[in-house]
Amino acid sequence: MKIFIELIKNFFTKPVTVDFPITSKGLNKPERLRGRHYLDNDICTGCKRCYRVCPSFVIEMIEITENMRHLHKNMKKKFTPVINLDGCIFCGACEDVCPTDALNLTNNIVVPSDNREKLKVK
Amino acid sequence: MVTWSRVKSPWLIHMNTGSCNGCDIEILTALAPKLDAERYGVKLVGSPRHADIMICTGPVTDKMKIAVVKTYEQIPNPKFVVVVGSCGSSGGIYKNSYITLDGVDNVIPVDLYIPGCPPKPEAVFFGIAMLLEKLSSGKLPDLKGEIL
Amino acid sequence: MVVIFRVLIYPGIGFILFLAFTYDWLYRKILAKFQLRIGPQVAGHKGVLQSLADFIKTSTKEEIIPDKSHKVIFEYLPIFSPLPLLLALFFIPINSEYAIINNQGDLYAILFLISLFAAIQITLGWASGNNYAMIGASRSGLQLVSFGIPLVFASITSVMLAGSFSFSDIVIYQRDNNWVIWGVGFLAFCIFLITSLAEMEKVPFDTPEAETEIAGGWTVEYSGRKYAFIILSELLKEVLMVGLTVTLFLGGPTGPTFGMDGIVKKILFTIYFLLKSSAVIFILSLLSASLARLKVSQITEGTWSLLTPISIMSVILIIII
Ligand code: SF4
Ligand code: SF4
Ligand code: SF4
Repeated sequence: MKIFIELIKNFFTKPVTVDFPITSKGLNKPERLRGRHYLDNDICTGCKRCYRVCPSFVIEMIEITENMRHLHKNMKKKFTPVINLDGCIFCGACEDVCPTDALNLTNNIVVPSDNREKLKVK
Repeated sequence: MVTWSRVKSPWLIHMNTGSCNGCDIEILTALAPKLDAERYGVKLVGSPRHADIMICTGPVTDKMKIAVVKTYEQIPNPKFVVVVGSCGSSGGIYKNSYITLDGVDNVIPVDLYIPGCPPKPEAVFFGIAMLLEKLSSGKLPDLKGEIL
Repeated sequence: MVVIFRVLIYPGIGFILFLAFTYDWLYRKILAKFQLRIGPQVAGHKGVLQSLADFIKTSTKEEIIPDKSHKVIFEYLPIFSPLPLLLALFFIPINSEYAIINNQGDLYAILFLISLFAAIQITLGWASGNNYAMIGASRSGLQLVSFGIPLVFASITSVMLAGSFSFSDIVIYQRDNNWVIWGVGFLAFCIFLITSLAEMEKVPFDTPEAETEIAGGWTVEYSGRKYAFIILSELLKEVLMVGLTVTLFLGGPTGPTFGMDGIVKKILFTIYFLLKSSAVIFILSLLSASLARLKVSQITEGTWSLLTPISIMSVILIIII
């Protein structure tokens, strides 16, 4: 019997549903939400620490070639990390271990994509 | 009109291709009252014959390969495959394991990847909404900004 | 001309199809309201066209014919499955005391057509040659057997009060006297609601097509156009059971006419019918929102040890009074 009263009460209250893709007000958004990476190419030194610590081996270190130099001004830097978000588990280990705070996890939860190439952060 | 009806009533079949059950729970959360995917006509059906969108979670394990291919073939055309979770997209933490096939796209064609381990229910919901957008306008909206 | 208009458009096939799609939307919307959700929202204004979209989408999909199926039955029977229900709906008075078809044995015909549809369900399940479909079909048959007797006894109540099997007589009796639900008929009304939920295979009694355990039950192998017809027949069944409840217990489409006659009276009666059936749908979705799916053994035990005795008792009560 109690459930009928509860249901009728529900019928006359406002739904809790959030009209999501149009507005996101009222959704649970934690303080330290870990989402898409942000890599600051100017600060990164190419030390490969993030590459070593990543538990799911999704960070590749690619060698900086001549036609990529305009992005990487620091001449001492030989390698730059590329993060494949399609295998990342958003653990934040790379962010913690980075000595220069070049790699940060923003709180944009990852946008879905139909192409795995689009899910790379350089 | 046919396109309109397809966009307005996507029916999902959910297939666990060897996941750890984290993503499956998040998919169910996307159907729960807070986000209420039924607003967009989404319905979880039991039989692949009634479904339009196949949701796969998890890296395809060796044993699961036959089942995945069979289920995919049983869905009548037009059909779409959405992969939820990092495992399903590329293998995730099971990458290069001797027992998994490193992602669903090695077995069947995939239309949309939703990375995350597990992705937030909002991301799952947004993914399905994006797929519907692609169906109606022909191309995927290219978004990089904040969706939450 | 008038007859053709009555059969094809109003209150015939066209209006019935309109009712089928609207009732399903209403049912889903009210159910969502109970669960603090919004329900269908984007297809048309507030999602009214949701069921129509489902129907069109399903009918344009590819059809797959499994090897193990019985080809002829599998191919052609689904197309005929909405027919008995459509025919049965012609007996329900919608816009006046008299339905499109009315004669002395209305209730017999309806009960026969409902059983015929259940037989079609079982055949469809068998013809698809799938084990899940077989389980679903046998459960469907079990429900037919279990709920048949309470259904008949519950509907007998109004027949005994009105003294006729004809729906128009029942409606006229309720117009001149009280509605059947006020008084001795209330018990029968409750039983009829529960049985109609079972006939519609909605949530507490949806064992024949339980999605999570037997993958869609007897509909499991049907796709494309065939499944669209099966969806249509399920929607029609919803209209039929709601319409039957309204006719037998809530006085059919009758109500105060304010001395009007002709077209205005018909429109008023249609509005009364819609209002009453919305109330019935509200109660039905309240019932299905409050309960979880019952086990097969619980269903049979409940019907044979609870519903059937109560329905017999209510009939005896009316005989005494
Ligand atoms: S992102 Fe940080 S840890 Fe990774 S290579 Fe650059 S500086 Fe080193
Ligand atoms: S957050 Fe992603 S890229 Fe960084 S260490 Fe974890 S799994 Fe690797
Ligand atoms: S992506 Fe993470 S949560 Fe999802 S199935 Fe794989 S391991 Fe589990």
